[in-house]
This record gives sequence, C-alpha cells and structure tokens, in this order.
Amino acid sequence: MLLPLQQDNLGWISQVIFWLIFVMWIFYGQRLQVGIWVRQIKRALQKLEYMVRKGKEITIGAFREVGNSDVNLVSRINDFLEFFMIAPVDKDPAGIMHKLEHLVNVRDERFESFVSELAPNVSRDQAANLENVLEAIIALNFIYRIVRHFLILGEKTKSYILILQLQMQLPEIMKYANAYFDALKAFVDGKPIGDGAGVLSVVRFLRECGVKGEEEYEEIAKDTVIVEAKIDNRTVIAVRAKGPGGTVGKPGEAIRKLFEDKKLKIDRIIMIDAGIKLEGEKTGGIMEGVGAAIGGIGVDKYKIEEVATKYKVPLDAIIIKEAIEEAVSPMRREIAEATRKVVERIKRIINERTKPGDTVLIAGIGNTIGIGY
Amino acid sequence: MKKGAPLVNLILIITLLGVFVLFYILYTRYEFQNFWLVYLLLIILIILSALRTQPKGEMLEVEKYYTITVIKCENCDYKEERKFKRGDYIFKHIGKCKKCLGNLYIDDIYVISPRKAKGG
Repeated sequence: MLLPLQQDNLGWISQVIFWLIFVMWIFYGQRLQVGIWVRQIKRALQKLEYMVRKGKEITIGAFREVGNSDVNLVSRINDFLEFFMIAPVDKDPAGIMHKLEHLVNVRDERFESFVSELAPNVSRDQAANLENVLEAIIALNFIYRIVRHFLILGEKTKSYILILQLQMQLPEIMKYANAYFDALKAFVDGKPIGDGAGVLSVVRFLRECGVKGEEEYEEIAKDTVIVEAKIDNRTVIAVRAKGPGGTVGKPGEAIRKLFEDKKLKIDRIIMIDAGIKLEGEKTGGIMEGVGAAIGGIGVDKYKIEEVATKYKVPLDAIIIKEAIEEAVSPMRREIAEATRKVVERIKRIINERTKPGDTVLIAGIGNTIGIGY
Repeated sequence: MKKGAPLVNLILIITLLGVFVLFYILYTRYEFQNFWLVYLLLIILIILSALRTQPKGEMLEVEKYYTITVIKCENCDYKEERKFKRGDYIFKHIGKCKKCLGNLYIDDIYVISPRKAKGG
C-alpha cells in the first residue's frame, strides 16, 4: 500500500486537512476560480478608475491652461464624458451613408461648440487637439463603464460565463485603455500618433517634390487641404487633413469635390493609411493592395469608392502596419521610419503604373496631430 | 504569462514526482512510516497551483516612453536629437543652423521605450 493510514497524530491531522481541501476543491473549486478571476477584474477596474480620474485631471488641466477659470468646468466636463451618438437605423439600408454623414457632422459640431465654449481664445489647431483630448477621455470612460457593468452583472447573477468572458478579454481591454490613456497625454502635448503615418508619408513625399509650407495648400473641404506638385512629368494632387492640430478632415468629400466640382481628370488614386497588423507581424511593415485605404465609420470610404467606380479610376492602397493600440498612442520609431520607405513605394507606383502627362491623386489618411507641412 | 513560467511549472512537477518516488523507495526498502509528509506535500501543491493562477502584475502595468524630437538642417547634414517639448511638431521651422545658417526643422518625433533609450 502506497499511502497507508498512520497512527500518529501528525499523520491523522495532515490526512484530515488534505481530504478537507480535496473535498472543498471538488465542490467549491469553480467558485474559488471565479473568485480569483473577480479579484483580477477588480484590480483592472481599479486601474481603469485611476486612468479615468487622472485623465479627467489632464483634461481639466488642458482647459485651465488655455485660460478657462470657470468654476463649473469640472461639472461641464463630467457631463460631457457620457456623450454618445446613436447609429441610424440599418434595417432599411438605402441612404444610410447620408444619415451617417449627417450624424457625424452633428457630432463633430457638438465637440467643436463645446470646446469653443470652454476655450474661446484658442487657435484652430489647439481646439482640434482639445477635441481629441475629449474623445480620448470619453473612450477611456466608456471602457471603464463597460468593465464595471459586466463585473457587477456577473457578480449579481453569479454568472460564471460573464466573469470568464470578461477575464479572458481583460489583457486586450487593458491594452486599449493604456493606449487611450497614452493618447490623451499625446493630444494634450500635440505629439504625432501612429494613425498619422499616412499623412506623414505624403508630406515627406511632397517635400521631396519641393512642396514646403502651409501657404502652398488650399482648403477644399472642412479641415482638409489639397496641393499640386510635379514629379517625373506627372501631375500629383495630394489630399490631407489640416495640421498640426489633431484632425482627420473629410478626405472623402475632398476627393468627391476634385472629381465632381473641379472636374479634374484623374488617372490613378493612391491612398496611404495606417492599417491593423496581425499578431506576429512587425510594426512598421508596409503592404500594398487595391481599394480605398481608409477606416472610420465608412462615409469617406463610400464617397471615394463611388467616384472611383463612376469615373473608372484605379485605386492603389498602401498600408503601414501597426497594432490598434499603436495607432492611437504616440508614434513609435518603427512607424516613423516606415514613412520614408512609403515615399519610395509611392514613387515606384507612379513610375510603374502611370504614364508621363497623367494626373495622380495621392491621399494621406489619418490624424494630423503633430504633423506640419 | 511570464517567460520562465513553463520552466518553473516543469521543475515543480519533476520535484514533486521525485519526492513521491523517494518516499515510495523509503517505504518499500526501509519501512519509512512518516506519511504525513506526503500529505503535506499535496497540500503545498494545491496551494501553489492556486497561487500560480493569481493576477499577473505585468498586464496592469503602464509602459513608459521617451519622446524624441529629431532636428535636421535643410542644407547640410546637421542632425540633433533632444527631448520633446510641448509645441514641437514635425516640419516645424525652429531657427538657423549653426554650421551653415540653413533652416533647421523638426524631421521626426517618435517614442522609444526606456530599454531602447539605454541601448538595451
């Protein structure tokens, strides 16, 4: 017999303790496991709470810095933290893009008016940065509220599945929360973020074509500018959002106007944007394909696809690979270095896929915070 | 999970198996009777396995970065790196080059982790 019963007291006691623990493990093992997960989620929630609190302090500090001494500032910002946009009904999808565009415009106007009310004496660039700060703190607060909701719901209903799902997704959730927290600080300082890689690539390309300085650009749509340049006997028209304040502009509307209002004959469109890399891939890698390289809610993509299809213009897409959390946090070195390689890709596409005399439209997509001309 | 975690688990399992084999040999050859030690080991194993599923601290850490501003001259090969200052943005003109009096501009702003900054 491998484990015979012992007659001495110590043997009996240890046997009893062991079997007690063993039986407890069988009957309460799952509950213990859930308890461990709940503790883990609570720790994460504490950190999220800290981030939201600190984020609010940063936001309030940013408004105070630009001269707001309103005693109601804290409550105004607190009220704005739960701002939302209700998506239009999609059961009858015809015309949904126009409804979406309208809602996005209304949302943007609300942000602008809120910032201009709280910070009336700032420049457009500073106001754009403050709007981004508000967007980041709203996103952070939303993550915190969702995690808290599912934790309380899981505890209340004693739902093993709810707690398990939340615990499993916690590393990913915390990655996003960290990214938004970093983004918040970046927006206050005006640092470029990973999402600006597309714009930065286009500006680098334009500077090589001799286009330097804001005065050379013309505003074609809200917060969106265009400029004309020449390279290898081709005409290049570049589209980007205004900078160095944090805006994404309306590239879809700008491209539509170039085709429909300005009646330009464009032979090729090249779009450059930051795109989501897969796990295992290197940040700053570059890939090429076809289609409208633009994210967001879909309004700009829709407009670009519409005109490209109507006028039968080929669309090239260049993507700079980065993780989603890298897109909203300050630009990493690998991404900054990749923008130089993208310039060579743009030149190669122009040389290989267009003829002398052609007009090429190049669109740098992304948030222009910290990116000048 | 920490990098060395599978190795620690393996060492733990091998050690426990070794102890059990040792007790078995002691019991069969030398009639060793202190089996409370075996139960004590089982209790330690259960507690250790519970502790190993505790929250991982690194998931909750915030990584800190240095933000670098790279300044270049439009005319010569002058290049300077410094800490980011509020108000810096890429392609901002920031004065004249000490070497050739050309225009100095910010060529890059990016973040690096402290490990890389120390050359790690």
